[in-house]
Amino acid sequence: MSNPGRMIPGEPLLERLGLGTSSLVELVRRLAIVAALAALLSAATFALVESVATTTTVRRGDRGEVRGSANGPARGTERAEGGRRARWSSPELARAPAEIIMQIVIIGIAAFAGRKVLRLRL
Amino acid sequence: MIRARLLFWLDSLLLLAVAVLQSPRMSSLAVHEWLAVAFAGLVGLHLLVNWRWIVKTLRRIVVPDSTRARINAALNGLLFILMTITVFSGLAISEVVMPLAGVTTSTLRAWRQLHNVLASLGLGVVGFHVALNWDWIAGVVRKGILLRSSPGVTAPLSPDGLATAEAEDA
Repeated sequence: MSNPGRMIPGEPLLERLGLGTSSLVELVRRLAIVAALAALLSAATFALVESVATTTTVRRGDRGEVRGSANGPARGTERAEGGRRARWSSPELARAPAEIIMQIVIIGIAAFAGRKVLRLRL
Repeated sequence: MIRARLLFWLDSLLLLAVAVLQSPRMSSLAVHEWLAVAFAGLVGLHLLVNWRWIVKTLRRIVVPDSTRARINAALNGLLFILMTITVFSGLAISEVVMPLAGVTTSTLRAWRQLHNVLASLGLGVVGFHVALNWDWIAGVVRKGILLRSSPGVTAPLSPDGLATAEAEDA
């Protein structure tokens, strides 16, 4: 009788986890590919946003520092805004169940639509 | 079995993290930012564990009549792009993590708008990602391999459509 939970003698942990390799070098290579792709995307986004966007938001603590000199003379200061750090300094755990359930429901609706309408499957 | 369990709990953790990350007001900004950093690491692990599927799918998309593989690849690629840019734009407006590392973050409002829009879009694409892997998720839950390891229970297919190593060897 088969026993799916059994260990196969001599099988490396990385293989058992389904990583498809027992070589750490190979694993690092794969991680480097993922990191390089992420870095490429991030660099492209940075270049795009920094070259196109013009409106700055002044944080409470930065007021005066930013005004008129943020990242070039063309950039305006739109509005003063209290730091998010100050406003969201402590967790509101009472909201957690409702908030988390709401997000899971949204994901569920998207999953249902993907399954039934778009017929997504592997 | 160990792979199926690892994948299931890793993916469940990622799903929960996505839900919590949607509301920084609930979690507090510091928790939001540190959780996002941990989330990025877990996404990296998720990609490593599913590496064979990724390579297999990328090879399959060039084959004629492989519309499904192309749609799957496009959807997963879009999710990777959305998650990467969402995390990066979050770091760009970070008020806790990046200042701690001595990095001055951007004051451009566009970063915040980009972060919010992509985070919301990401929620929908995560839903599609769940839909894509629904058969595997249902298989893992149905066979009850999460809590026990009974002899004779056949492991379900992994998300890459391959039987798990244990099942292949059985």
